[in-house]
Amino acid sequence: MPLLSNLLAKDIPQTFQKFQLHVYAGFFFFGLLGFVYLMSPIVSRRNYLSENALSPGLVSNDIYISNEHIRDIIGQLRTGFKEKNISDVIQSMFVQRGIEAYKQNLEDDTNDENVYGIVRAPRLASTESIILVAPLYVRIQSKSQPIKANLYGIAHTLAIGFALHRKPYMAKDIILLFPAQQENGTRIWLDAYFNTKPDSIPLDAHAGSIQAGLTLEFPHEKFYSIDLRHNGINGQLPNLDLINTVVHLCDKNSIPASYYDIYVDLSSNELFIDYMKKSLRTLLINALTLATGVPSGVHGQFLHYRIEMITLFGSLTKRDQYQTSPITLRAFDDIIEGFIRSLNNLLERFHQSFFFYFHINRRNFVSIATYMVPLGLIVAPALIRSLVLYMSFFTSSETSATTYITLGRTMKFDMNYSAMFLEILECLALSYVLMWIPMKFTYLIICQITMFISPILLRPFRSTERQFDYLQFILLLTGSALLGCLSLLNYSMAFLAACFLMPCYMFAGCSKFDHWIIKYFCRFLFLTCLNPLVFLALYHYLARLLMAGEFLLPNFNQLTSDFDTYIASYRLFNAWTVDVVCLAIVPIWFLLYRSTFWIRTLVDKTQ
Amino acid sequence: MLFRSFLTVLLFLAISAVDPFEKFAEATTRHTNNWAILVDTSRFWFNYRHVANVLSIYRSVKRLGIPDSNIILMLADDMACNARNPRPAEIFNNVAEQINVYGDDVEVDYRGYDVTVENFVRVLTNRLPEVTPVSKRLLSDESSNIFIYMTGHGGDGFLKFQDNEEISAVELADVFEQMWRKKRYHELFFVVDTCQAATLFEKFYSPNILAVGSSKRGEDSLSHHVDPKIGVYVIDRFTYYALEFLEKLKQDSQKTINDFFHCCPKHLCISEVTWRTDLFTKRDYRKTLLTDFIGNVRRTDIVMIDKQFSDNILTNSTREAIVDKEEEQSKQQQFTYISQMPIVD
Repeated sequence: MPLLSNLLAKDIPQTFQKFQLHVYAGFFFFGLLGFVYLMSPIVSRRNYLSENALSPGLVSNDIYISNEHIRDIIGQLRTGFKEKNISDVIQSMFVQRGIEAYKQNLEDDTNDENVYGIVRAPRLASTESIILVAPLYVRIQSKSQPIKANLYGIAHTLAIGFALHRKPYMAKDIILLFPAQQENGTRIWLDAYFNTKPDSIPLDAHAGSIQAGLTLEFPHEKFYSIDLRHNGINGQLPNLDLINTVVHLCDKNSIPASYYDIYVDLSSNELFIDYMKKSLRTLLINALTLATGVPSGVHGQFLHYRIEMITLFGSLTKRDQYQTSPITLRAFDDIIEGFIRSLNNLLERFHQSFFFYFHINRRNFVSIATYMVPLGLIVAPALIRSLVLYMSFFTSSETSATTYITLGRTMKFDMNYSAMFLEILECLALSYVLMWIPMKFTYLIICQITMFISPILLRPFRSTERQFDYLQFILLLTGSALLGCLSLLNYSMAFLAACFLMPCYMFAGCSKFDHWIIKYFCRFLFLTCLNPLVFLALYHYLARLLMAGEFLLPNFNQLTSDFDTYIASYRLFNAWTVDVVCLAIVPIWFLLYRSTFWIRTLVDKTQ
Repeated sequence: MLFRSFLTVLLFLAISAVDPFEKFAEATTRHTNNWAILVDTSRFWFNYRHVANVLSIYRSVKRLGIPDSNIILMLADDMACNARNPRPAEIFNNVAEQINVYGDDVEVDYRGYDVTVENFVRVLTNRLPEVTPVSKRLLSDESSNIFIYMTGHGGDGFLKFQDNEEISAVELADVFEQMWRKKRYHELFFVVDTCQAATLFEKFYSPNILAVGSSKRGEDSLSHHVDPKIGVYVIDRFTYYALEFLEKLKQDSQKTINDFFHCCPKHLCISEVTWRTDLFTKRDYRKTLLTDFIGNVRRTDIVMIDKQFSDNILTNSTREAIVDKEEEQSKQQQFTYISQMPIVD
């Protein structure tokens, strides 16, 4: 017996039955508002460091790197980039100073090589290590030149590595990695380091267990702020203590630190409305960009192996229009040195602070306990509706004359499962086609049109009203289970999927009413707004608006090119966003769409 | 026969009244059986200051006379040889970094993972395995005064040992009662420098115990200052001001326990130093000398200071004074204690 209590239709209060739609709509909108309300100081929390061994900034700076030294290194690097033998140049620089350095060939047509050096801890036996990564080329936001040589990042990584060589207080090894093709090179290096692929050639040397690190991307000589990039693969994030350490050091050295190139001024001079707008932008971009499952830098590959890391990018965005002088490289070196000294104090990996959070600005954040509530509010209508439907199926054994026993309960009507399963199979089959076609926008549109006309071509769903309800019940349960599981893996994606699916459920359920206007209206909505491609376009436009911070016109070309770039690169990152969308979300949407075409068969005899 | 013994006694009394050495010795402590137990309970690099606390108290206790054989020193972690220490083999308790408190003359009895609640209790009650060497035992008897100093991280009614266990106030009180029943102390002075220190001694019920803690219930004891070159806090507030007090102490000091209680007023310590004297009924703590606990009769070698010796050993007096005094050698014999930890120029 599945439940101890008899849930019957008469147990549902009548007022609730009448106002169901209002209740569900209320939950949905409160959920959306709740998400925006996460920004408020009542709900969000102030940053704090959980690991008190870190003590950022407590130790005074010990390394002094002169400008001449940097210039000398940059001169050598420039010749290396020009003559295309940069990895040899870096390796020779290491070897000259007595630091072991190795190269790894990327097994492809290009002659690119990863180069890495290991500065060993002088007094310990290489039990733990820190990693500093400086990709050879980085992506910048200019139209003319998509990637630029990471001259200053490499130069400073090298200089700090050379300075920390033979310092008696280093208790961890430092691995200095210079990967060749950004994410591709990093992934190959990591696979070889941890020996994850059976056919990969193992590396020449390993250091201690890698605890945490930083990626330094500084292509420009003069920069005005540091952009902290922390998005990982599939919504993974580094430990909040790591980010807070870097933010604390940036504040101490008066360097503006921004998330997503949005600098929120925390002083009391700033107008409250500006502070709110920027914080809201940060929060929304945080949620939207994590949903794609694609990381914002090389650090995503390391997060996959649970090596906490963020990317520091020297950006040209000024904190305000009055900032005239760029940041000195000396201050930037101080931050990296302070970070390494803090990490040096640690005995264990980062484990004290949060792994799931959203940033509001560099001083406030919301943790998973708080941000789950809006999603719960949005998905709650699905669960309530499924419970209401469930209760409407069953009858107590005394009242009805003819009873249909199924699953140990007496149902009010005869259940014909075959029509329903046939429907589900057809929808799943059509959705799975998406996995096999090349992902170009035009093909997707063709696929979409096929899906739209399929109810007309194939046999539409014929059932009684009760069977329609049963189908809805199954879909509601599946949808809420899917969204619940997804929220634990990639919350942002679950949130967006919920925002998309909940209206679909509502309008599909509305098509139960017999009036033909409502039916056609629901189908029309499915064609226009509640359409995955349209939703994708809206999402893209919203993300562009938020990132730019000003009004932009929608640009279809931008959408297609961004989409193509995304699809081309997402396979590289072990991301599963597209797979989940194609295999889980699209079938549900398609089933809901097709259920609006259902044709009422015989009126059921009982009741 | 009787008359002769009477005369001997009279002679002895007369000489002791007149003999300058006797006068000097009378003023100093007469205790020969004092013990000290100094415990640091916390490990990890950022708890550097606890090790520095204990080692500084160790230096003061040793300087005032208690020998290494009567001191049990427990250090939970090795800061001097920690790979993070930029000054290897040295521990400092001050940002000026002038005194290396972990010098040549430090004998640690229990180190590292041996500092556990079980070992601490076994030392106090002498229930140690038979193979334990004498240097690791507390061989006190009913005439010993014991000085116990503990530091680390504490809370309401407990003290944390080694990050994975704790000793509660009730347990500690019971241990002291065991000691009392086994006649292992005459008087006991308990000093603790942790957060909410006073809660650790509020459960004591054995007689002749004095206790002082650096903070009361609900208060945190604070650290004093950071050494930016090492990157850690190097000393706690209460211990810093207690050391300032103890450094001025000499063997013949007449400073009382009450003076020690007031060595760190609230405006310096920020947390409120709390003490307990209700168990100390036999004497008045206001008249009890601090050197009754922290001092001991020193092993004395009576040395005639002449040119040869002054070349080798520096005493408290200056070189010129020695030269002058040599001329009046026969009249005034200067007796001074040889410095326990000689600082060679």
